[in-house]
Amino acid sequence: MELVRLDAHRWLIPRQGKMRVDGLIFADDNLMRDIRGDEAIKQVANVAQLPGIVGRSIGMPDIHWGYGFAIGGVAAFDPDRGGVVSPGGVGYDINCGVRLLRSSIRSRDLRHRLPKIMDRLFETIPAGVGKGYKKFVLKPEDIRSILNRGAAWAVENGFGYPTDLEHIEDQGTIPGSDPDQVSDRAIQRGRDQVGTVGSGNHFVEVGEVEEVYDEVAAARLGLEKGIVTVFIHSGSRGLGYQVCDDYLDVMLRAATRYGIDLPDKQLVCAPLDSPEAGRYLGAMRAAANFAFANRQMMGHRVREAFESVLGAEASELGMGLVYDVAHNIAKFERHKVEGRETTLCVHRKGATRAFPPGHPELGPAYKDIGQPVFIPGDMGRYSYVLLGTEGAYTETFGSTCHGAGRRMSRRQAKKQARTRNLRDEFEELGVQVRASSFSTVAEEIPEAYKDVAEVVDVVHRAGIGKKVARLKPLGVLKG
Amino acid sequence: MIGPEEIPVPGVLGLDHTADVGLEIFASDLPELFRRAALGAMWLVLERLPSTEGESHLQDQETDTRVVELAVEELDALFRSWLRTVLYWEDADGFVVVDAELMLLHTALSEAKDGQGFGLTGHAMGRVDQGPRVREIKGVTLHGLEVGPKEEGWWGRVIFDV
Repeated sequence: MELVRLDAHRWLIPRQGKMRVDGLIFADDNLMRDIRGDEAIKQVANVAQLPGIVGRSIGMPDIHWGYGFAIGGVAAFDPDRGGVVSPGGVGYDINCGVRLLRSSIRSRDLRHRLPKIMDRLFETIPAGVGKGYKKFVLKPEDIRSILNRGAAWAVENGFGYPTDLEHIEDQGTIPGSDPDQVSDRAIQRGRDQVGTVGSGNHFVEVGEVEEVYDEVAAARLGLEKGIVTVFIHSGSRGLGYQVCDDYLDVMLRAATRYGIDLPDKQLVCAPLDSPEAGRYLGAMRAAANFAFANRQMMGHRVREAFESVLGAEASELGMGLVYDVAHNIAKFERHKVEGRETTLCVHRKGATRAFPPGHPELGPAYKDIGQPVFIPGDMGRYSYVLLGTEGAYTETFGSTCHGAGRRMSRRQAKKQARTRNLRDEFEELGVQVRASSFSTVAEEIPEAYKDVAEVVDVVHRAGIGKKVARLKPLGVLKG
Repeated sequence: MIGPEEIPVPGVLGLDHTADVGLEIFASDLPELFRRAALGAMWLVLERLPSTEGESHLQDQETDTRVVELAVEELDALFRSWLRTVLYWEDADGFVVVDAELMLLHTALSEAKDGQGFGLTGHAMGRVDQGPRVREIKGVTLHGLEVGPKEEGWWGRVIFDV
């Protein structure tokens, strides 16, 4: 695959073969060495072949080999030019995303009580493969309400504060959901999973602000050096996985029906104006709302855990919600293409919306500074808080990276971890780990990931994200 | 990347993929290929053999039988549909397939464009296993999905999202 270096952080895949647009990958030399090691570049080029794609098929610096679409990819499709929607461009974990809570607690004041907090989190937030919430099995009417209302349902039912909703992408409710398009199997898989972490790379992480790069922005987000924070990374659990799985079949038939030539079957898709696309989008939004409710409920459990161990109300502990972002989703948004403002369906699979200051879709909380963006790293090192930029809006359809990106397969990671005492290693790093299975922890060892600092430096220097603060993990709850 | 890995299911190899996992399956005939693929998928979830290990989770559990009746247009889609069914049983009910007696048919399908397709009928045997799982399989992807004849028998490949 021909790759042309444009500058220190941009690589062009010139339009070739059946590509309808160029590809563009953000990376420095070091990250590009990793990216070249798998099939991600080819996957960016494959996405560029899909009907109605506009601008460029984009790869973020955390990009890695996925199935069909690479993980860390962004692609926008114009409905007026035959553009498509593809479940593979959203991923199985619809609205997988990250929520950040802050506090007024100093990390030095928490250290001796952190083990108790981690134990409490482990008791109250189910984590692990397929783990559900046995004490909280949803009734069918509640599931339907969640699919329509997302985080708003959770707040109305006592899980969190009304002000939380102002600090969630789309206020925690994506309009246009259609629960009738969600299968019984999906409902069945999700009925006891709202408020649960799951497994794999999902986690709840207690951390501290280790470094502030932009004092003014950090202050606006309520972040200052040394305070305790909590990250929650999860998505729509079994319900979302099932929605994706169900619609791959629908889209496979649709792609044949509409004569769409696919370089990889996992890129199955349907024209945005087709009935199949309408059904998928209705179901996808429903699953996205489930994910918002899921993270909202976990946020509530986090506050409860701190309250019970520290003996103070969450409000007294300053436990406000900074923001909650999706990084696996497709959305209709207004963007400029060839000088003309138009509505596009933007797919972000392992990429975060990063709207600039003043964007009309941002709520009042952050309209003047831009959208907060969270980039979790690995369990042992650090994570970042960024803000959206004008550069992202003009160059990447208002998107930036979403994490460190894997550089080692799960099996390679496990092989490396086989003879090590991971519990001791994390203790030495100052990280308390609670996990339902250390097998998952072995797959998630820090060296299995790229250094997220490198990833974030690329997006910062390229102008598609602006560094605000770096967070360090103190305790991690894994599935 | 590292090469294919032997797993304790005859005729099944584990495949390496940056973020996901896969299986490569070999068998003398198609029903056996499908059976082995299901056992391989269960291995990925449990990393133990439900029939011989983890017995403490299986006490007083009798083997149960579930009916299999699937019909789709293409052979690889049937393979995917079978694996989706097996994984759904595991995720929703904790039902772990330990064996299967299957039959493959060419079948008439009202929804198929030429009216023809593939059917899978038979029984899956398994038990509800509440023991630990090591991996959550989110879905059976279409990426690299293949089923076809190879040498004297049949071969299949599947990548799971985890």
